[in-house]
Amino acid sequence: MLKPDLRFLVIDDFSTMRKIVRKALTEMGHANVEEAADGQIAWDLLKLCRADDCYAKTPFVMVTAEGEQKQIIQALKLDCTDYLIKPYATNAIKEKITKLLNEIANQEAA
Amino acid sequence: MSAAKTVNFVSPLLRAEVFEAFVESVEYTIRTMTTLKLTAEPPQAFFGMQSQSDIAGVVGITSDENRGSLILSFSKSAILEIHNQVLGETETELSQSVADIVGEMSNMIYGSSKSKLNQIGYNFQMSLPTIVSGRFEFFHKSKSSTVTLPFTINDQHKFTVSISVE
Repeated sequence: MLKPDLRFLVIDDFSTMRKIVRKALTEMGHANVEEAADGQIAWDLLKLCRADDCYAKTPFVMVTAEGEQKQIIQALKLDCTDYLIKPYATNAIKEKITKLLNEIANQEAA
Repeated sequence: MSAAKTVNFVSPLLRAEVFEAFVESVEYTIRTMTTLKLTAEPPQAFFGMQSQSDIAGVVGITSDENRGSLILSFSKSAILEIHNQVLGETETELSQSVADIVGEMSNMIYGSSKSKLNQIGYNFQMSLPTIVSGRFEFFHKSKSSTVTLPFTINDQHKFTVSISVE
């Protein structure tokens, strides 16, 4: 079930990729989407959230090019929730977000 | 404007496995992100290679032993077809959004190719793409020949992937 208060932050250096993710989220019914254009922010934000009890469980999905395995490992070490390899179809983003939201809903229900 | 000369010599560094990795990556990227019809044409080898286009993504290819460049050169119509289908927009000019998708595609194609090639013993490093917009020709500064992989979208829109390694 969609939660109207769900907020998404899409961070990517390239506007195109932010648009693709925003489009997928909008098609899923999520209208509360913000964007940031500096990929470094994502790393800083992940570290800050994980170090703060209030935001420690905020889900993060990293989207990266196939050749960036080091980044994936680094993200997982920082407790990034999940990742997606570019290129991807829009449906892949939707499936990833749906899976994540279902997991959160199940955790909250438990 | 000097025409590039087609030659038989191809750098030994540009083996079939390298072409195949790049062709597969281009096909995978386009087919994953769009439903456009993509046709790969036979590769061409040039010396003092030139690459003509309206917009291009340039990626430096570096490893411990090798150095070179990857250039994705798009005609305006080809990149607009890709851009508009990926984003569901009707862009008609080479905007920043179009430049961004060239950058992302360059990144994805090089990243995917690099990953394939490094699994079989190459050691290519990741590199950030540079976007060049405008009607122009590229000349690779490489001492070796350059291989160009031509592609056609929907039977009419052209783009090429040029690789030069020395």
